[in-house]
Amino acid sequence: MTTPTLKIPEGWEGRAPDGWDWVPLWEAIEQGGHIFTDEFVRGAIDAGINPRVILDDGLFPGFNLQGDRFTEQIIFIPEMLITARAMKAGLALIRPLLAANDEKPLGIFVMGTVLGDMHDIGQSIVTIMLENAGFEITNLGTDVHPDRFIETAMEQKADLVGFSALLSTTVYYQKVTIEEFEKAGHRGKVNILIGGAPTTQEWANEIGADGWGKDAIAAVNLAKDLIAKNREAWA
Amino acid sequence: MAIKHDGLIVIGENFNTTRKIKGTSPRVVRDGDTTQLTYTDLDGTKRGLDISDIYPDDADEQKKFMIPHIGQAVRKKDMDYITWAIRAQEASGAHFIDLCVDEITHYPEERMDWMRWIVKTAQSITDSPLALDSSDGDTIKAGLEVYDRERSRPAINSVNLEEPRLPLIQMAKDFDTYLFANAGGASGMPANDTERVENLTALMDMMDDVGIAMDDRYLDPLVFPIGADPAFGNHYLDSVRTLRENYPEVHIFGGHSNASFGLPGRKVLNDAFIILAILAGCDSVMIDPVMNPTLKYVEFKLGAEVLSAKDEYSLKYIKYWRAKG
Repeated sequence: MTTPTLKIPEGWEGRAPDGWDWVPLWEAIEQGGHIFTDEFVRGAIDAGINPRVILDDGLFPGFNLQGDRFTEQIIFIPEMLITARAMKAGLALIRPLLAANDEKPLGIFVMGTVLGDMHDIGQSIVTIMLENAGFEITNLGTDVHPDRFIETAMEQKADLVGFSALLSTTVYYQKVTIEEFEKAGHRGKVNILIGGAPTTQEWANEIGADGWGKDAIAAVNLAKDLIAKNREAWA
Repeated sequence: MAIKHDGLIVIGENFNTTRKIKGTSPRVVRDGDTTQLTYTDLDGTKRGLDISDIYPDDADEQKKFMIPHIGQAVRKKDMDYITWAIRAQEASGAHFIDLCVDEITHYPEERMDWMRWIVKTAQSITDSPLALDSSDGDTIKAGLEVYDRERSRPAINSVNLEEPRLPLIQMAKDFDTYLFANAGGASGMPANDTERVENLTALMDMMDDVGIAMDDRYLDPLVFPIGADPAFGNHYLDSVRTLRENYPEVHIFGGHSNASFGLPGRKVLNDAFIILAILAGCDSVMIDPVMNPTLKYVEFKLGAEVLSAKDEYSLKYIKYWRAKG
């Protein structure tokens, strides 16, 4: 086990006004101070700092630190969730500015729980983490028919699709849904991630998924890796 | 057919193929090419479950590995281990033995075969009522069809408002079983206590229509992990209070140990949550009775009823102590 440390963005001083200090924001995100984050980010915007810089230099360091700690099982889900809440407060201010600057999301992600399965707690947490990491997410909720996954992926020109299943009796529909993507001729256009308590890397391999995330942070890291993979283009 | 108990009905949850033990457990003993998960039988005999085919060689892998011991015992048809896993729960006060083989395979036909096998096998070991547990109704039906009624009366675990599961209510009537019902909605999990009560009330109405006896009904308002949302605990507890008020005679339980998932010190939280659940109106628990000895909950409940004037003149409580000798 390695002890995660805060990764200070290299050369951040050059991207901020003289005398600027991000440390309070890094700590606020780490400790889940969403009200402080909101105030601090407003101040950064008022100071004329580029929104992309606020995101990369101000918001991500604390978020990534907690993500690493979660992966190493040093912190627990509630601690990750309050950091996510603080992150969300900052992103709510930054996102419209990024869009106005024509900044593209990291990728388009369609998420849902497979047919016959009503569990949503896990995939909601994964959705929050992916949004915080910069993906644009359409969450289809639970009990999602393969056709709806396919239609939404087409509409959104999705880069990634995620199937959650929490029951041993519904993980089978992860396989079915992948087969339906193949039949529809769209399998090569998306990367497919699967997850959920009964799933494993072996199951992901068996059904031909592109990846398996053991927890929410693993899913984010996987999505970041897979987005770089070559795929067929949507028409 | 009422379950005989001292005030708290215990549904033993251990016989579930999802259950796992840490790969670093001191129970793992390696000897040459064989690896065994050791245990001490109820008569004191030291035994081992053969896990050689699934236990990793690499030390780092071993740390991460979780041993699916029940699944392994079922796959290997290890009668000693299966017998121990069932009898240890009975010895710890379980009234029902839950049987779930959902995770042994992802394929429906195979799952039904395993359910038939485990029902026959478990009935060769125990006369306790077995709760046939699956999220797939056909798997439950497969188990009911081979169930030997001479030995015990089965329970169905569980119906909810999901369309494919609704026939389980009629099935409970046709096969004359106990019926467990959970608060899952037609198109999703309940978002709060109100939806839990609404969903279970709808199921209670359907049970009225079919004619399921009140004493055969076990309601599970659904316990979600509190680590994921601090409101989840009260969603459950508030719904138990309302259901108890509306249905004084129905059984109410829950998968109480779900509450602590993802948090440290799970035993502390489980104990606290079961106490809160009993105070809210639960008369049944679904737990690992071996790790969480149930006697303390039984006695807590008896005591709490005395102290809150629910046990008139403390007669139930006195009777319990006299019988204890």
